[in-house]
Amino acid sequence: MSARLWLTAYAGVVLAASFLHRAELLAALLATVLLAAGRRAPKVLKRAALATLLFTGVVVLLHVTLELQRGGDPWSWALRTLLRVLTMTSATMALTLRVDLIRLLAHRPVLGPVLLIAMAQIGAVRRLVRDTRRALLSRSPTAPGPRTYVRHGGATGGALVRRAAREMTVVTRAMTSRGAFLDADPH
Amino acid sequence: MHVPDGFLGPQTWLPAAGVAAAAWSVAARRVRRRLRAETIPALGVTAACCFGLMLVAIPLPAGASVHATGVAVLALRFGLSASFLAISLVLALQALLLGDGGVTSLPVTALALGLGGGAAAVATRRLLSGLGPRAARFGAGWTAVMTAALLTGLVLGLQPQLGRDAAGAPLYFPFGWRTVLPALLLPHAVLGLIEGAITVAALDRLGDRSDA
Repeated sequence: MSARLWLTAYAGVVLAASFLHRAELLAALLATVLLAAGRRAPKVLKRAALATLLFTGVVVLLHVTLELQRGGDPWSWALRTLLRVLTMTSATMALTLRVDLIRLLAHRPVLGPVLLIAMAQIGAVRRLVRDTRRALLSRSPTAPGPRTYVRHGGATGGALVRRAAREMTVVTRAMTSRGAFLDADPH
Repeated sequence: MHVPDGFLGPQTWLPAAGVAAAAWSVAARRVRRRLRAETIPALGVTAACCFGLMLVAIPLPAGASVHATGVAVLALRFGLSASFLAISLVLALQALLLGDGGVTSLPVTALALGLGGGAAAVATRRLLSGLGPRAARFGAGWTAVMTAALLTGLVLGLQPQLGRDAAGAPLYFPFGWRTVLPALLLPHAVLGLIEGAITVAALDRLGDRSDA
């Protein structure tokens, strides 16, 4: 199946999950998404459940508790919500497994390169943030206090923004030397 | 403020996607006009920078932690349009790659955090400039977070009014404004203090656009 067909199917699943309110239909939709994910279905479902656990768990638990106190029946809402959230998030996870976003956007003149640069830079930025956090902890004889963490956060933020400003120049020069922007309309 | 898919009704996310698409288009044109050839690298690198700022976590008691959004730092340093596009791209990557926040809620989150929060930061910076740069930057960081929380709370609290099933149960997010606004605004009032402090600390080292 081509990337465009996967995208169309994804849009269809998202729209259907938004408009369907019967639990059995949402369960059938979730089963279809997991079937489409193939052998990776357990991984997709686990990732979707973990990613949405905190927000969904808090909202569902709170609503169920409040409704039970009022003597209402919260279970149909809870089941419908859990199925809808899992269906939509699993569909997103399955899509990203099936479709290479960078390849899909490769021919988009702005979005493709932006995504490629961002994803490449994100790896470096994650390492930088992790290293500065480790540096703070290894150089602190006792556990740092909140003020130290805030000052450290500010310094890390400042370093990231400075790094971003510097990287822009470097990446622009690298892209220009490879022929990018040469045919751009100066006006 | 990372709302998963399934909590916002299509009556909300479809119009929000239209508004966000228009805002992204205007922002992209403004950034392109200002930065010309550097637009593509600037957006990619700024988005990565925003992703990094969201990784800067401040530990709280009981093992919890809060993280900066970086929206005020980016808006004051790079301008509203660039920061809005960068934050939108980061939210999209987080939703697609990590499942952190939904794709359908992305337009609402991007508008609330990237546009609402960024605009509030820039406006507060201007309003409080008479109090000195540090107070203005602190206020900008705090207001950005509170504005984003307020806008997200307003959208979430609207959901029970948009549709109910035959039994009267809500179809999407179940809590109205009376519940959701205090639940979102009170913690964010504290988080905003940390965001304000990080904004001051970061811009002390960098300066913002008004210094240039």
